[in-house]
Amino acid sequence: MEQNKILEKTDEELVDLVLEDQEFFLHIMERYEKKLLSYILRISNISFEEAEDVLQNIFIKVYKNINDFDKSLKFSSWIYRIAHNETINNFRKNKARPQIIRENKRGDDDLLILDKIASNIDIEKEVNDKYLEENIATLLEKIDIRYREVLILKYIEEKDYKEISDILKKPMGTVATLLNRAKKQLRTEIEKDKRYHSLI
Amino acid sequence: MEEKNIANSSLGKKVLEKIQMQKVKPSPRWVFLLKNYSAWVIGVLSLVVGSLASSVVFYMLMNNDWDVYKNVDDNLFSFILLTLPYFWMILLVLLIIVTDYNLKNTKKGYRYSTVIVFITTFSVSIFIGAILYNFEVGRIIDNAFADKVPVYEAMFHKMNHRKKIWMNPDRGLLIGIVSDSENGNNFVIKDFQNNTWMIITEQAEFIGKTEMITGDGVRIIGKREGDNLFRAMKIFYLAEKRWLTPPPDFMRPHDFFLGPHGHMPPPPIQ
Repeated sequence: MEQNKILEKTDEELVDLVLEDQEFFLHIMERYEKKLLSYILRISNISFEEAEDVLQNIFIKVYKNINDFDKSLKFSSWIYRIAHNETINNFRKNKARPQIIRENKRGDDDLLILDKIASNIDIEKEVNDKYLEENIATLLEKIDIRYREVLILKYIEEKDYKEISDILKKPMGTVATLLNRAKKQLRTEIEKDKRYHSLI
Repeated sequence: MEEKNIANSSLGKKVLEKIQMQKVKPSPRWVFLLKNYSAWVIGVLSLVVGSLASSVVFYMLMNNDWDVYKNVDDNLFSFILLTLPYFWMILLVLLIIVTDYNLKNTKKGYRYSTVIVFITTFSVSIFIGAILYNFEVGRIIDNAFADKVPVYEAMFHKMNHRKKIWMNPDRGLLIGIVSDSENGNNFVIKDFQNNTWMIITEQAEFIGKTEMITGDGVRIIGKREGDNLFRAMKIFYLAEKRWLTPPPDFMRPHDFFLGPHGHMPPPPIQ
């Protein structure tokens, strides 16, 4: 099949093709590799290489469970659900290990995080952009993983409440509660961090 | 763009090679269908069993001798605490939890909050349980368990519990079998401890049957007037044969609080 025709296919149509020919699975992986890799790295504090290993496991699981895909769901919600489960399992297994300190390269992605989250967490005016720009990634890592993942799904992955509900397999009301608590916890971390920096 | 595709596809190619090397195949659709249907079936079954449990709860609450609670315990609240059917209530709660867990594991079940599922499951169990109670299902289940499970008979069977409550002449409750009915209106009974009692009936109200004959089972509310003399105020005829056998001696959880005869100690004589 021509490359252009494949690009026009929806995810759901590609799934049907994968069931006929394994090679079409490559195209699904190409569509989601970058997104899922960033998602894994943002959620868990692991190295790039480990994140790639997790991603490989995710894709193998997706392939194994492809017949479980329910077309009443968006394919992206379904694949994110598998990615979420696998990432959390890996995170829990590695919790005891020493944490990786990734070089905090400030690039476009961090400014994107800053823009989207900062405008939504209702922080004090004194907390300026520069402070957040330098610290947002570290601050996110300090909050509970349950809250971190909803913040990332909502403001970075730009999922709506229904999609987040389908990904995390939680009712929409619970998603809204988690989001509120996430913002609260992030505000608390910012306040704690500000006080610390003003003392040193 | 081409570079990006080449770079991106190396991971994809690695995955595909792994899939081919390890001969990974998609699990067949029936496996997932079976998982989903099993969750539904177990969920619904738990709901059905929960409804049966709630019919027993209804039966036990409706046959709790509320009208004679003062003869058991002066305090209604402690009487309630001591006579609630805890076994069936705990079983009902456990079954609701199982129903909730299984429904949450169906394809769309996670969309409903635990509170909503709990309330709905509880309400449905109680509603169906009330209907089943009206068809005597609660009593049938309680008696069936008593027949088949000796521990249940000794510890939880409602009728045995009630018998022990009525073996209580000092607090005005008596239960036994008529051994002599040829005393005019009065008659003699033998209780479950083989004590013989003369029952004076001149002021008594008869419920269920007006003339007792030898072999009839009776429950009596009245007042003890001597070692073997009992003045009856109300006499209940016991039609069901289960009333006529003595309760087992096994101590029940209630007995730790109520004493071996199923009642609080009589009030001090003034």
